[in-house]
Amino acid sequence: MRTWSKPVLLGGLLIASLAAAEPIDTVRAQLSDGDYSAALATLGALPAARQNSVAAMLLHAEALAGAGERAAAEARLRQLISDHPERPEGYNNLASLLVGQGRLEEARSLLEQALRSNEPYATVYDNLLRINEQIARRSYARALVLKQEKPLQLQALTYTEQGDTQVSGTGGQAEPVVTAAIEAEAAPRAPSTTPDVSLPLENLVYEPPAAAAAPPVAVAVEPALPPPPPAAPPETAASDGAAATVASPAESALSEEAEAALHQALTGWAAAWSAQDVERYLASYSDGYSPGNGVSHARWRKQRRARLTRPEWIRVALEDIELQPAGEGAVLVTCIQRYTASNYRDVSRKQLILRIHSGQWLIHSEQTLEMLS
Amino acid sequence: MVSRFTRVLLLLSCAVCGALVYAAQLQQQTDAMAVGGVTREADLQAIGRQQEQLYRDALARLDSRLAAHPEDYEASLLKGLLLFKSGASGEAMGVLEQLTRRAPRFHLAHLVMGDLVLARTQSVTDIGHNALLAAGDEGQQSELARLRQEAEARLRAFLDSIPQGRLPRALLTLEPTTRRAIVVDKSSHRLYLFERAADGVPLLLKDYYVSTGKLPGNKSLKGDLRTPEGVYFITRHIPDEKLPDKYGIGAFPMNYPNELDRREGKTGYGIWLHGTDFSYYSRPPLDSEGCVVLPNLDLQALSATLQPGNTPIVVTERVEWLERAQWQALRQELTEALESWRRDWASGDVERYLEHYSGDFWAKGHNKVSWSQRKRRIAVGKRFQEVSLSNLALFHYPTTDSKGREIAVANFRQDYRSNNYNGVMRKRLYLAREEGGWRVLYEGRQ
Repeated sequence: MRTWSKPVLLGGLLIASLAAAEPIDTVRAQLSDGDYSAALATLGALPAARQNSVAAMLLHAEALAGAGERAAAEARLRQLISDHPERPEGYNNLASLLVGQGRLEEARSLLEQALRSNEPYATVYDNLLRINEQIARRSYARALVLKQEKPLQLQALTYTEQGDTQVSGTGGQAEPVVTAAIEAEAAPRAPSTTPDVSLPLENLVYEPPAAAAAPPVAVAVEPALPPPPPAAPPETAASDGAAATVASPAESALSEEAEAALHQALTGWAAAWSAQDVERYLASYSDGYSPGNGVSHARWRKQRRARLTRPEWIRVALEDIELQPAGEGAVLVTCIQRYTASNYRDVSRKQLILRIHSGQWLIHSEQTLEMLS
Repeated sequence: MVSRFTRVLLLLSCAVCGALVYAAQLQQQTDAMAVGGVTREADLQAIGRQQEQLYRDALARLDSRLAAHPEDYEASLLKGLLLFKSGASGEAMGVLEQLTRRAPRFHLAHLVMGDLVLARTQSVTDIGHNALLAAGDEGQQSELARLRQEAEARLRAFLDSIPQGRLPRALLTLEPTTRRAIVVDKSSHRLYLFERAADGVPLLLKDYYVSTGKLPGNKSLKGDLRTPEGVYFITRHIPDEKLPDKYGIGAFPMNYPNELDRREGKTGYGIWLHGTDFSYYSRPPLDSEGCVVLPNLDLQALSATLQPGNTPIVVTERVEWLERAQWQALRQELTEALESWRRDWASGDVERYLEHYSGDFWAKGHNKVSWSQRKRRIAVGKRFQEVSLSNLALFHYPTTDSKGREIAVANFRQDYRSNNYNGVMRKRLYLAREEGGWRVLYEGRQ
């Protein structure tokens, strides 16, 4: 079928262009010479039907613009758009005319319309917008505290060789596209990581073009609604993406014993700090603990030793301790920390994550949420 | 021609001083796109060309900064912003991509990077000003506003750079042992670093972005969150390991309140030049409790040359940059006033010497009256006196005193010899400009 459709199409075009050649080519030559009034005259001499062809209308608008008749050029292009909303040329050339007048926003929306004049391109364009936004979002998350990253969902296009139809199954490759996971070292205040989510596909149906009049990307499109995301929405994951699979230790409340042990661990930590008892203080942390920022465990130990021993005295008091199960046996602690030392004092809101190791609650992460004074 | 140039300046200044850091980009884009399109009015084209030239010059300056200091993250940021403004968003993106990799805690750089990406498909009129961030809560909006202020402060300081060959009124003579002197401009959030050239003339080496007190204005009370203005000296160095994290890699306390501050009843303490909390590369312009805060990288670059007990740090709302002749005249005038004081002291004519002192002079344990009595008493036993001054440093005070007088500060080594007493000391004088010339307002040890 394809093997013989091409020559026929080409032949048709050849005949058409031979018939049309002279006046249109003349206009083109006149335009490239800058002779706009001659071009307008040539176009005016065309039979009425030919004057309203896409090619003639485009040339007419160009000639009008060249002659300084911007309003008339604009009107001509707007007519082209209304007669042939599926053709991108009208939008594009009108955009270029408006840009020359500084009408940038209108030009932008015309170019968007041009892309949307063709459904598959509209989808590609939408997807491009989403990726762009997601990339921007990732940068913004590093600059600011951005709430709840939404995982990116792109619409998919499918193409089948068989003539008619079909919706392919819910395209369920669980391929993470762009999630807004933030490396801890890059943005200390950034939100926690978002679990990967599979990509719901929106299927587009391809119909083979009718032999002759095929524009380059004429595609019949039947958009389907995207299936709902298969996994739980990521907003619920509190702190650890990997925890999503575990049923629900996260939701269950802490036992009284656990609460008591946690309070004991926290007061022990603050007491060791106040006593400037470095060994006991460091023993409150998990093996290999690192404060982030690329600081190694060893360097951190050294730093803490120095900071704990320098002041003549230190008092650390914890208030408003709140415990919250965070899944996988981890507990999220927020509290107010009043630090007073011989040389310095501050009050801050802290967040700690503790996990139990051989019966002992140890600090896995420690973070200052805000300085209160 | 004049009006055209004014319009260029207006365009540039509205891009810089107005709320919209990216504003000029739109204009520039229009110009670039119009090429080959419909003809524009001639003067608009001329403005476009001149603006392009300004951008080209500015970019060339940044490139030479980067050639000398590849770690100059501010220069990279500004380069990205200017490239974006001049329509080269692809190049801008490359610069920002590299910058955010090298300085992952430079929050402002991440923000601009996000804008560049978004600007490919959406309208982004100012830093962080777009649909994506519009929904943010109040905290986020104020964080955005602060980052925007930082961008504006950095960009404005760069584009309003000092005309060649000018000198700061505050620094008149640096003593031979002084390696560096600092002048902080609170309005532009710049720290100017000078070295001592021949004859004690300050030579500008480099300038840096700094954050200052949360509230604008001159400090007068403890806890007022303002950065004090005056002539100060670095008193000591506190290294990283002795500091809480929020001070970054080190701190250099300043002698606030100085002699004049105390005299005028100013309170507070702990005004330091220090680094930045390790979670950040830099902080917003108005952020500290009164300290002057440098990015750690910049503090590191200059900390080796800061000398506790010696390095002057003049803090001012706005640096006054003088033409050399004007600067020289002021320096001459003060040097001569000091020389005249020395000569009259050595001459033994105690009444003439006392004329050099202001009516509200003070020294430790003295006012003008008791000082005069003491000097008259001492003068009786003197058969000869020799006074010589060396290692002179001279500063013009950035503010007037509470009586509206111009003030100057002189530091020097004083060698005193006489028939009954010899002594060497490091001395500090405050001088006030009164009718009839400069008079000594305060005299004491350094």
